[in-house]
Amino acid sequence: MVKKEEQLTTRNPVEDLEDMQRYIEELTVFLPLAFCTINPLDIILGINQAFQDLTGYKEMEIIGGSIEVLFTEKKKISNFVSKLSEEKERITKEFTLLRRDKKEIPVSVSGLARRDEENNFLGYFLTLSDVTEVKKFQEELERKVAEKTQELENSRTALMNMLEDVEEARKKAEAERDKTQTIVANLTDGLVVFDKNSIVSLVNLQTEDFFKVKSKDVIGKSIADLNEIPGINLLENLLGMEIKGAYRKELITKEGLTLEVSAIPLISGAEKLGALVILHDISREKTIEKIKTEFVSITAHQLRTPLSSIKWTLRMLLDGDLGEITDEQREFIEKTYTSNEKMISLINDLLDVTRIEEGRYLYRPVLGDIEEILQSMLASYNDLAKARRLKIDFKKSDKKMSKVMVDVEKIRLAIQNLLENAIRYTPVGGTITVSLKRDKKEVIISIKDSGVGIPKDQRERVFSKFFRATNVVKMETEGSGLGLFITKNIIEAHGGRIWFESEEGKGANFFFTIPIKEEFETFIEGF
Amino acid sequence: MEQQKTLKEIADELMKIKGNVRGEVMRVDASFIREKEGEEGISVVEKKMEELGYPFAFKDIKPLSWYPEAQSVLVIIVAKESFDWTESDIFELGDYAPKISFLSKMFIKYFVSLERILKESPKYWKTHFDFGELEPAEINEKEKRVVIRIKGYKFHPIICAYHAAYFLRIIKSSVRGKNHSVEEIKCSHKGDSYHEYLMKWE
Repeated sequence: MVKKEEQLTTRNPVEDLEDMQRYIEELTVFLPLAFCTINPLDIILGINQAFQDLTGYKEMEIIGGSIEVLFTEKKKISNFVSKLSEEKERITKEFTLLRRDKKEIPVSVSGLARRDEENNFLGYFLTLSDVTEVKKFQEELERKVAEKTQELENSRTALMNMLEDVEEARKKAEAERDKTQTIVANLTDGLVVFDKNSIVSLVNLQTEDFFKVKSKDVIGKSIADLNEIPGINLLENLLGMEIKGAYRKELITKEGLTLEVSAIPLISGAEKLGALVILHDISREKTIEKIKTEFVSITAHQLRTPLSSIKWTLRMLLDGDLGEITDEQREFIEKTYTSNEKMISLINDLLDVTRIEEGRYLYRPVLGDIEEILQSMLASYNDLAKARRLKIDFKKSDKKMSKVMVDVEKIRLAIQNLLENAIRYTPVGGTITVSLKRDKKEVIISIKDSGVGIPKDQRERVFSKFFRATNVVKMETEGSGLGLFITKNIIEAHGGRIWFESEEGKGANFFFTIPIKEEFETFIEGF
Repeated sequence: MEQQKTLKEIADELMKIKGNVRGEVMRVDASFIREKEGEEGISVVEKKMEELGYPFAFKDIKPLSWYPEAQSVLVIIVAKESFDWTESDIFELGDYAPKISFLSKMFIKYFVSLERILKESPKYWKTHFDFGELEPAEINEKEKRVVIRIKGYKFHPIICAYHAAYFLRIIKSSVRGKNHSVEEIKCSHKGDSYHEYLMKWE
């Protein structure tokens, strides 16, 4: 250890200098940054390996040469090095390096002046960095920025166009909204719109007028809340807590108006948007209908008394109670009697219809045997069927038939109407089949004929008042067109259903059901 | 008659002359040989030196150690002989030396003006050699001429071209102008008591 210390203290300064020289030489070779030493005359005095690699010049080729040889911008480099001599700080600028092989590459040149202790300018150091990749990156970046700028410009233009379109669409939508609001406001029907949470979102003027309410008091209220608002609370009673399906009901307001209330759920795809309630004032129609019904009722009653008198008078004549009559006289009187009977039948039908429309078609249900009723009805039409050479079959289920609650008189009338239609519109030699079945909840009766059938385009109107199919009008002038209307009302009053199947030219099959006793009671409880 | 002397005779005579030079000078010579002849050139010179009885290896030379100037001169003579160099190649070596030399870089701060260089030139010489001396005999910037004188240096005429190129390079690096030139106007080998070099420019 002592020996080593002695070695250190006895070291020759020359050796230190040589070590330093070696260090500088190694550092110079290692340094990846190209640098050179320049004297005040701009003559290159020293370079490193990186400088040789970058410029392509060897030491012996470039040392002693002017720095200007290395750059394409002669004047610019001259100004640069001139400025270096005046500056204390490092200066950096970009130049184009002219390599020995004449290839030009962009370089970043940094320079720093060298001065001695007395601040005399000794020259300067220069470093050169190849910025080709940086330039490429910069150019690529600039190109991309330009591209993106153009894209943004295009996007801005597109956006402006879109905004213009949107503005135009907004104006159109506003115009459409104003138009719709005007239509809604001036609609003669009342409108109430509920949102998906059953909250009132729109009430038009007509609704305000119907219920004597202000829309501001109603909008934002739920259906249940409407119960608290006098007038419109009637609507809440009718609608219930929520509108689930489309339906139509009548409502009489406090002012005596009769409104037809139509409720329609608003659905878009699978999403429920709310519900629309339309209030149509049918007071006038109701009044006219009532007057008409009253007129028909009075007229029918007034006609039935003299027609009954005529009937009994003709009966007395035909029975010889008023003396002998000739065969010719009998023939005339019989025709008159038949016509009178038809008149009485028509008057009875009209009276039934007026009772139905007045809601007075009340009936007296009793527990009855539908099979027995059917059998007796068929028996009463045997003679007529034979006269028309029609075959009547009766098919019944093997199951034991439950008794049903029926108004016997009315249900006989319904069966009579269906049977008479079957007999009337089935050609000679045809077949009429009456069937009786039952299932868990109801008995099902069908009356099938092989008659003329019902034209396809008229089937929807079959149960309407005064409807007569075009094909039967041609062949048979009898019939008021009220039979099926009355029949439908009778069946539905029993809680049953009525429908038919038909093919024109091949016949018709009418079905109706009557609920068995337990179902009937449930049905009655519903009123 | 000297042309008839063998290389061995020249070497032996040369090696008798006293005076040392810094190893850096020989390292620069080696660098030049390497540049011109490749690494193989170094081997050729070393082998020849060994054959002449003065073996050495360039890699062992330390830049600031002293070595016989005769050995340094002999290396140049051997290289010239071995590679058929002309005087132009020797001139090129002289031009090359100050560009590369570590010693010249130590003096780089004086390469700022002609006046400063010439003032420092005796010291510069002493840095390289432990004998002889260099002095500026004339400085005339107005007429654009300088005369440099070397005293106490007489080894071999081959070095005259070397020194001429060396001084010219220094002048080129220190004086703005063009058409710089050098001429040996006095030579110890031609009967003068010293060497004198005239440098001019336009």
